[in-house]
Amino acid sequence: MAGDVGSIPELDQKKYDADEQVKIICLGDSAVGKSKLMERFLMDEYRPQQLSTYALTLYKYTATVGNKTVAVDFWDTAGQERFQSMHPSYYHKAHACIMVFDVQRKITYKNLANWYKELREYRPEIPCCVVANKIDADLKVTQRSFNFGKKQGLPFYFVSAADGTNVVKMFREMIKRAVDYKQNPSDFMDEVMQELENFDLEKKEDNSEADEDGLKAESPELV
Amino acid sequence: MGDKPVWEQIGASFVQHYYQLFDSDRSQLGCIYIGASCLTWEGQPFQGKGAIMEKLTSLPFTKIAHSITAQDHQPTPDSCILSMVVGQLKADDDPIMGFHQSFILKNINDSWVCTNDMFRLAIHNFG
Repeated sequence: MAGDVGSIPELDQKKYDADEQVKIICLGDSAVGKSKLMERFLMDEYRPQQLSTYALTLYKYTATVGNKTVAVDFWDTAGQERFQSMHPSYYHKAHACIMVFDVQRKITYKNLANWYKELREYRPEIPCCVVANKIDADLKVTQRSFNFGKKQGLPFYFVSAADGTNVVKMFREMIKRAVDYKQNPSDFMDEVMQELENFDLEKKEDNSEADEDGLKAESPELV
Repeated sequence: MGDKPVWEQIGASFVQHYYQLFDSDRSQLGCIYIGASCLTWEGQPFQGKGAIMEKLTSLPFTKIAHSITAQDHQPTPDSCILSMVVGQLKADDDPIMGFHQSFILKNINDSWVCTNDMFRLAIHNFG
C-alpha cells in the first residue's frame, strides 16, 4: 500500500499555499455521515483516495468560483476519531471546516462543542458551518432549533446525504467561503456578520437553489 | 501445534480469545485484566481493571472486527510471555485500518492474565 502514496505530492501540505488550492476538512463524531455527504456531493466524479496507511480519506474536486478554477481537497477522517484524538496535521492549513452531526443522535450534537473547541485551537479564524445530517429519517427535526451554530455565529444547514437535500448548496457555499477566506482572511469576520444577517433570508431561498442543482426539493419549510 | 514452544501456544490462544471477546462483547474482557494491569491506548495510559474496562467499553463503535495478520510470542526471564500482534480492523462502516497490539501475559494462580497491553492504529499522519 505504501507504494500507492509513493508519489508523495498528496502528502505535501505546502501545495495549499498556492492560490488555486483549498483544503476543506470535515469534523464530527463517527457515523454521522461525513463520508456519505462527500460521496453524495461528488457523485460519479468522486475518486476518494483512501491512502489506507494514512489517517485520511482525500476527496478531490474541481470547482469554479467566479471566473477561477479552484482545486478543492476535502479531508475526511479514516475513522481514527473512534480510537484517538485528531492529529494537528489534520487541521493544518485548512481553509474551511464542515462540522457534521446526526439529528437522530443527540450525543453527536452535544459533541460539536468539543470539535469546535479543538478546531479553534488550531484554526481560530477559518470559516466553519454546522450541518445537521439525516433529516430524511424524520423531517420533523427541521422544526427543532439547534442553537449551537447560532451561538457561535456559524451558518447552519439541514441536509440529507441519503436524498441529497441541501447537500450541493452547503458544499458550494463552503467552497466559496474557503476561497474567500484564502484571498482575504482579514475580512472574514465582517462577512460572517453579513451572512448571519441574511441567514433567514437565505434559508427561504433553499428551494429554488436546490431545484437548480437537480436535488429533491424536500425543504424543511414544506413539511 | 504440539511441536510449538509452550509460550507460543499460550500466547496464540490468548490472542484468539482476546479478539474473539473484543469483537463479540468487549465488556467481558474484564476477566483478563487485574488491578495492576496497564493499558496504553493510542498513547493514553490507563491503570487497573476498572479504568481499562471503562476505556474499552466506551469506545464509540458498535461493531468491530479484528483480523490478525501475524503474531509473535517470547518467554521473558521472569516467566511471563510477551506477545505482539499485527492486524487489521474494521469499526462499523469505516475503512479498514491496520493496528499493532502488544501484551505481557503472566501466570497467576494457574491462570494467565494480561498485565500490560499497548494498542496503536497503524496509520500515519501528515506533516
